[in-house]
Amino acid sequence: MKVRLLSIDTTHSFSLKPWLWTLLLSTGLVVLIFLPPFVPPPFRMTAMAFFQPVCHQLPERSFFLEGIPLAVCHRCTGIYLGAWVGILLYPFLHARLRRIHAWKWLVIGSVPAVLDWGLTFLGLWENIPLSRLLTGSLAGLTIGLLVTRSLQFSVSSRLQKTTPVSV
Amino acid sequence: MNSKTRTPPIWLGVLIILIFSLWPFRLINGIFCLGVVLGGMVPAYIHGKQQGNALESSEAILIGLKSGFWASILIIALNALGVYIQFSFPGPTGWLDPIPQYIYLIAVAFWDGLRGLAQGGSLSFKFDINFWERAVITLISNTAFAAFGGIFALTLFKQEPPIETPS
Repeated sequence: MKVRLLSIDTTHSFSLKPWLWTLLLSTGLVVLIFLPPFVPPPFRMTAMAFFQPVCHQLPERSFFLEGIPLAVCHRCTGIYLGAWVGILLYPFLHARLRRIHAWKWLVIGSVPAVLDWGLTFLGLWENIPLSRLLTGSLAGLTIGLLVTRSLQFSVSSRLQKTTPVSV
Repeated sequence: MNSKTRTPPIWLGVLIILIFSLWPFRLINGIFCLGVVLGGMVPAYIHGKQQGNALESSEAILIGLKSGFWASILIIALNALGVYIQFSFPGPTGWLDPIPQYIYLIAVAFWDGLRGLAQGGSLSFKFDINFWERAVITLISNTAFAAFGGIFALTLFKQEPPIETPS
């Protein structure tokens, strides 16, 4: 019998394991953000210090639970929550996300947040916690979907290179 | 993977993170607090270009991780010597806040920001953790966010595989 080696087109398939890892890591970050109000001060400080390099953590621009601020500001809370939702939704949306252009969608997802911040900066608009949360969430959702998609592509491409099938 | 071609971009990433931690460049974190992420993103992008856009996710993450790790080591060492240059090590005054919160306030609420500066105190949270606890957190958070920068470079700059339609 003649045996021929073919490669499977796994380029756009969905891989569960990397998705689960991504979801686990993003869940960890979201938990860390909401942790400060529920833990004693030393742990609270640890969570706050973790996010300090990437968020200004201004108390007047952060959500409070039981009088204690979350570990990041309104907009960053939105970004992390949005990214988590994006990662969570990826398995249901991945087929629709095949043909999109990362840059284009990143710009579309970020424009509301940039406008919310920029118009306030110019004195044309006064942003509020809800606007910061929602615009941040949209940016985060886009980032979550795009990052998960690129990781999936990367894993699938590797699989395609290494998966011969005998026919 | 070629570790020799990876090394120069990694040190560029370290340099970016250090520059974003230095006065006065660090002030830009007041409106763009992503210096650490950028420090992982740029080297991954450059390495990807050197490899002819053949950047793998594991490699992008590794480059980001290494940039964040070595930048943290240098930053911790410099802070141990009394040189306040890092996001996560509050300086002696409000001017040297980890993320320059006053600059953010001045950007979005000019007079409030100036008033805060005039009062002289820091708006940062008072972290009741010692130098070495902060050093460990810095090492973990900078490394993690720089690794995310590597993944983000993959998301934005890697050429995606073409869609193949079944014949």
